[in-house]
Amino acid sequence: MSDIEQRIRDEAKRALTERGAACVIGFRQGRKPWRVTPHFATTPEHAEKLVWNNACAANLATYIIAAPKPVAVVLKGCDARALVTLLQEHQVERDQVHIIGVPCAGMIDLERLEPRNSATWETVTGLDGDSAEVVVTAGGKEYRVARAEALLARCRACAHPTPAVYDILVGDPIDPAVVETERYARLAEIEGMAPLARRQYWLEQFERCIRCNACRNVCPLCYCRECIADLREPRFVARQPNPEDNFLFQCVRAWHAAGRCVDCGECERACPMDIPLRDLGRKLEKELRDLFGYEAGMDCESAPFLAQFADSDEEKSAAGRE
Amino acid sequence: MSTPRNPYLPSSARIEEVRVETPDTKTFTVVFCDDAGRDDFAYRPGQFAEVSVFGVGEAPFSITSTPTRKGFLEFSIKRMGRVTSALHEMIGGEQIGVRGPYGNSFPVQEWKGRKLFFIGGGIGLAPLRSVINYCLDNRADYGDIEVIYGARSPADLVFKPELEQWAQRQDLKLHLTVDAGNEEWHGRVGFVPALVTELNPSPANVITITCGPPIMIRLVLQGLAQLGFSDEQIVTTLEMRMKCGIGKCGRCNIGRSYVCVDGPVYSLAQIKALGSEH
Amino acid sequence: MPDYVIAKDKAAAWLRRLGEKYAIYAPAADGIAFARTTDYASALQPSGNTRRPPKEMFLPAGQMMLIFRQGEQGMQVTEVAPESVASGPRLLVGVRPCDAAALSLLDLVFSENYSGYEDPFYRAARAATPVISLLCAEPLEGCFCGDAPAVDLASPAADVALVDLGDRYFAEARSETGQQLIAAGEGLFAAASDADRKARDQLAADLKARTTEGLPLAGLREKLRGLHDSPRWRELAQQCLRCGVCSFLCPTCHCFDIQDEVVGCAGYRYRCWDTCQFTDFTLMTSGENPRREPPERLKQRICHKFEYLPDRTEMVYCVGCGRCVRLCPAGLDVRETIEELSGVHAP
Repeated sequence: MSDIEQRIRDEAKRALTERGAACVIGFRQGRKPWRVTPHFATTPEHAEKLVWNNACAANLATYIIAAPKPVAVVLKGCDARALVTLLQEHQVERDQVHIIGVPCAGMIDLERLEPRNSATWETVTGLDGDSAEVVVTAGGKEYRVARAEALLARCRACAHPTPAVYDILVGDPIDPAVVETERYARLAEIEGMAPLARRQYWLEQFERCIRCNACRNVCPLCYCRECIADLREPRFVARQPNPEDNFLFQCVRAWHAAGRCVDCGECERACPMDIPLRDLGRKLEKELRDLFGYEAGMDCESAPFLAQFADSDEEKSAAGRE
Repeated sequence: MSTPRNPYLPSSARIEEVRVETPDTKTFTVVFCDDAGRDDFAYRPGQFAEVSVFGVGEAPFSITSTPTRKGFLEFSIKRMGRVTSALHEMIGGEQIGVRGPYGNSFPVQEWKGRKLFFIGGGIGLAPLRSVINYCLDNRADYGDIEVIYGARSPADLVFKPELEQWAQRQDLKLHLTVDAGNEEWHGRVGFVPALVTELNPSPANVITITCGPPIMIRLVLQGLAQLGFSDEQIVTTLEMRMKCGIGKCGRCNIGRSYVCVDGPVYSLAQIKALGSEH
Repeated sequence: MPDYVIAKDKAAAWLRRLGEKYAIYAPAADGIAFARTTDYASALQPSGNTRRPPKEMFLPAGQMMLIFRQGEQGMQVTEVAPESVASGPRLLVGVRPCDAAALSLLDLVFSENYSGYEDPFYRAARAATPVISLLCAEPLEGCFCGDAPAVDLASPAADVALVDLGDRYFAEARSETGQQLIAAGEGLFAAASDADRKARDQLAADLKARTTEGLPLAGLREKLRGLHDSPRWRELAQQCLRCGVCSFLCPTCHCFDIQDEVVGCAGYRYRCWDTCQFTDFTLMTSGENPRREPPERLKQRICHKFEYLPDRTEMVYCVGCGRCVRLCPAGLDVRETIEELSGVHAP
């Protein structure tokens, strides 16, 4: 068991017994050693079940608002930035959440590991942060892949591996490994398309969308009790999946997340249809940087971006820039 | 046109008359546009229909008329959402869709020879009116008929002309009450459940049928239990959100029972067997 | 019904002949859904399963039911002919035994026996679309079809059931239509031998052994009766994100919504997939919602599949396909839920 895992357990128990936490949100092991599932520990015995490895991809910040308070929660770099946005928007108060911060070198995309059929996997090693390789044993054979290649796409572009806010850090801070410009490499492709082709591209992507709302529900920042897409009167978005309304739904979501989205990438991970949802959020994030030099989820003391105005903010329309 | 094979296809119908019952409730008299639609629609008291306002949507409404009076249907509808608001804009002559009849019905055959005690509150009188009038049209089949009906205020009483007719009848005892009276009201003031207890009906050979707001039902059931009524003697209608009305879309179930197919009429004994707190 | 074998290199020829009459749908290369194909050589894939279940060929994610037009003589309402769900005869190739069993379960729900009415759209789609199943060579993680009472791996509920015997496919005709499909491959098939049958049985038994975890799917029915007030639902619901992934991708889930859409002076009524997990599933216009809280909705999902539907049909509405296990964004595992609720493991 890794050192980080033990420290998480210890800190969780301390939070429950000494800091008055009603609940600790972390991960426990799933049915296979390499699968994890969110865990809500309310006793020290429960806290013993907490685990930590590089399959802990889910953003636990999404459970904070509904959790009994005060709540302790295990957060990676991306997760913590989402919490910063929640704090800025007063969806939770700082003294109600005890942040167990975990510096994260990236989560493994289990789907990228060979052999693809995980029913045949016997063991998976290298899920801790230290090994250079992830090794899958299946049918007596070993399949190796370099850590960097096994990571989730969003982790390969991660600029903030260490939580921006925490009460306790259970590992050594990690510096980002990514080159800034690589974050937006995929966007350049889409930006290069002529408008009609771009529209066609997106409608093709959204042909597959089944309107399961996984993207919305997994997002820590989509916390509206009544979502505009669910309204019956007036009805803005048809319930029936169709590319136009599906795309409209996503655009509305992206705009509602503008200035708030931290690119934790959960929307894309949750999507059962492999739709490249991060691209929309990141496009807006890129515009924000270019226009205002702003990055979401870094400073929990400051006001939300759309509630700020500086004299240096220029009046520019995106249309004018094209 | 023969019987529609497609149960999702409504028959065309027309609003013939609109009567204002209360500030938010209207009764719509509906006739089918063609004979086939009308002939296919043989209903029993307690059943409901899915009424379409094309372009707005479809909603289930209990049929408040009795099948013993032919040639038309009546729905009493409270203005609440999209479909009901659209209906409330209608003045007569508009075309709507009707499909059904769906659901089970009041077990009027089993009630023959028994005393019937109806307890209604507010718009809850609408499904009861269907079976009350049915029983009145088959009066000899039933014993004493007593109706308790109450509403929040005199303005909220529905079917006022009919209530006056019932009050005149010798073969039906009508007790009206309102939660709060006004200057013109000279009748009883008080809550329906209190009136039930005050009347102290004997449970011998009686079926009691109740329909109204949830809080009224809860208190009425308590009162009836204290009076010694068994769960089998108490009948009510349940509501759930419905879409298909034919037991396919999976949403109106309470436990294993689909309200659109196995209900909406249930005895209290059946409801308890479903194990819900509904 | 008789059994046959067809050499693998002849199977593509068989599908080509069938392709003259049917539009053939097979799992697409990206593994998302069944798609129209003319690449008959690759249609039969040894393993894997589509994200979107083949139920969508019969109960589409969105489906027009009727069209209305405001004309001079009033509102004209026309049904969308149920037969038009398929523009011609279709053939599903490579459906897994779990999904084939699921279609039988859907057949029950949409039949007249079940609720007094037959669903004409579903029936027309089924009538127009024979199914050729193919046993998986390997299970996926999450698969537990071996525990699902509705699933017969050796002889699944398809028109023709194929099993890969190495250099040839075992082909069992399970219906009249299946017979006709095989007859279209005249000259390509040979009669199956006892050895072939044995090999088929062994492969099915092997796969069943690998996908059997001892989960008491049928026994859960009685357990659930006593658990309606259990605090366990609240605990499970903490994790659940109330999205539609499990229900929409489940091959036996069939709940749908009905809505109207207006286009100018005309419009249409459609039905679309819905899920008991959404907050507004049972939300009435009055504002009342019998299942307002997430634990009640999670209870509905589990009880509908493992208690209520079995009470109505004597069939368990889970075929162990594993999609919900693999794709739940919150990492909920229905196998864990089944075990806990059955008292097999402590929570």
